[in-house]
Amino acid sequence: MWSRLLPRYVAGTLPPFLARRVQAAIDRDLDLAAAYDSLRRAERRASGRSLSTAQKDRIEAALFASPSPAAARSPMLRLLPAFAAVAAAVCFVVVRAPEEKYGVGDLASRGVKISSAPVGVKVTCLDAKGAQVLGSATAGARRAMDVLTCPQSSLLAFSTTNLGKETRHVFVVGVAADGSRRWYAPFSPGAASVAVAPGVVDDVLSSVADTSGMVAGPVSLYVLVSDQPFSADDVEHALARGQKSGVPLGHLDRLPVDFVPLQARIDVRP
Amino acid sequence: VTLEEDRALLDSYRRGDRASLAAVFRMYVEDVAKTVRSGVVVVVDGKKVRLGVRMPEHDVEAIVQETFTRAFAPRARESYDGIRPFGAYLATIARNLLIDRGRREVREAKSVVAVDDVGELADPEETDPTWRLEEEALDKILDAMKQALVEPDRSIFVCRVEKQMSFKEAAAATGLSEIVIRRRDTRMRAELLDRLRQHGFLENAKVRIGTSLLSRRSK
Repeated sequence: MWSRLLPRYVAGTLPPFLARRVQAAIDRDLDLAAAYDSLRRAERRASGRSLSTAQKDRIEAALFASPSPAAARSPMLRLLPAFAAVAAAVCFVVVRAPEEKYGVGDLASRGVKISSAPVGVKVTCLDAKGAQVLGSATAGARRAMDVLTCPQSSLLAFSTTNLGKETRHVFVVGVAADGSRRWYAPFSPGAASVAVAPGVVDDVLSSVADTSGMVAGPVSLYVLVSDQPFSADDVEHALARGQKSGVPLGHLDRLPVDFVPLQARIDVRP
Repeated sequence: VTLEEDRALLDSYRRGDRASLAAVFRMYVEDVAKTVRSGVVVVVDGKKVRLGVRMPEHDVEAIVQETFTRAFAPRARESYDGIRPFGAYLATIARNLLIDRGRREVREAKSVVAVDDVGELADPEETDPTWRLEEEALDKILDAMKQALVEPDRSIFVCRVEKQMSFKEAAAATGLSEIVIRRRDTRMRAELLDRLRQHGFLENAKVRIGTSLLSRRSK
């Protein structure tokens, strides 16, 4: 099983929980470790880079998912053994600094909780009159990304689903390739996230977004899901801070919005 | 631009701002990995040796992660003066971790002393003829595989393997959907592993794509 998953592990296409299990298997199994080392050696030879994109992503994810950056860990211990991830999910105790609204361990724990039940957003592309469905895409806890082909001058309609037992708060923000923001749901800056009650299935939001006045080009819709309400101002503040630090907002798999435990993405192409 | 040159980033790094820490990570991770891979020269019982060369990939990843974990700890953030080059500061942490790891490997040694003249001891990756032959063989395998690929797979190989683009960047560069790139990329890695096996790179590693290692062992 692990040998079948190895190419996906090296490519970086495995979901985090499976990647951690492959990681643990590599640690246990010398043959699998040799295969991994050989694949990486070939990739290193081809690219001339010391680490691959997938390795950097994995290390970065592990770094910020740790209960505390200060928590000492022997370098001989592996990145994140599977048991540690499970333990983190069920028994995180995070001491919050007075000025902090959350801790990263707390965030990871909340993310695992949210991911356990389907919650997400469906985006439907309608023609300019709103009479014909041209396509739809879904993203959320069970689907990290999707693609929606939607021509210029059409309408985007949003619907939410929450099969969990607790209310979730959802927000959709569009980010263009140049990093500029387009607020989609809710539709005005400063608005609060949409509260999605438990048991709601495909609940259509009352307003639609008209893309006719927007600059042409691909846009990534980031679906932000939290167990606590947040606002467009919170999102904008985090994005502006990231941009100021040199984060290329228009080219990210995930936005630097710390307080949101779960993100998914829909790439909208004309 | 380095961290010590960017005062705004330095301030937010000291505060522990998540986005800034991520930016610092991206800024320095490649250099730290290079430092880790080049190893560290120490004197073990009077004899110079280079520790940390040709480490398993997971050990490299673990040491890179640990280096940043230590550099991002609140006390380290607060104590960094913003004057010393941050890259050198990270390299020092990484080398100390390599020495710690090496100490465990040479437990029987009476003394392990770090030395500064890293350059004096040749890198075995450059001098070992077997290693060089393997590298040449790898080049041929990679070249043959690339030549055998048809479009769009060849473009995906260039974007993802050679240029190390993210899926999103590769999708933008090729005009393909991210899902297509993910699938084809994975298939290419599987083919590469198969080619490595055919050329004897995994003779002692009984891994075959599509076959469960566990079930084969139980037979």
